[in-house]
Amino acid sequence: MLILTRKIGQSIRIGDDIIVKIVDIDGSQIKIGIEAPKGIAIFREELYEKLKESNIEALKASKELNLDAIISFEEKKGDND
Amino acid sequence: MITIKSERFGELIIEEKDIINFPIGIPGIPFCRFIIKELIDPIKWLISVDDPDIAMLIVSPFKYFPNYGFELSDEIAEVLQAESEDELEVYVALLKDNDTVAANLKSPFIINKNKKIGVQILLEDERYKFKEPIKK
Repeated sequence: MLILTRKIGQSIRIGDDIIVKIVDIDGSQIKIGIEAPKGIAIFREELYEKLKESNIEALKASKELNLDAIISFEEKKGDND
Repeated sequence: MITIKSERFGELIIEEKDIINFPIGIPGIPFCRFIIKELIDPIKWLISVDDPDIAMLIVSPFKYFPNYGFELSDEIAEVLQAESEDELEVYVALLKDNDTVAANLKSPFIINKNKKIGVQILLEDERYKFKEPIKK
């Protein structure tokens, strides 16, 4: 991993079009500004991992969920609407 | 037209104009082209055109969670090429929660139904969870 030292207000450029800027530091918290092209998704790492897991779980759930039960649930509710 | 075969859906005949492109991708899924196929209103399938074994159940969240809502950032609106809100549809993935059905309210799919562009966003809103049970 490349490690660079930066001060508040300074930036790092990644490739031609990504800029990561140190906006503010408050104790152990660092505020970072990111400029990137529209097509690049930016997530907090821990949330990205959870999102990924949730999507994989949704693929699995689509095989495990009882579709007949879902269908009959919706049909029954439709009758009551 | 593309014909794809899968165990679950049999033979699917797909028209190019129905393919939704996810330019930013969907985390955890290596493909970007999907179609939506209705199971039973309001539940639909989101199926990968490249590998129909990759599919999830999605639903419009507003029926089960009437207070659900979020603001779309300008950046995402731009990716979606949305000119008005009427072009957009919102879906959430269905999950299994023990014996009940749950929904991922934290990261909805937004689809521009006219331009066939999709994005999965991640909401900062703490009220929304990755797994929220749907109460019957």
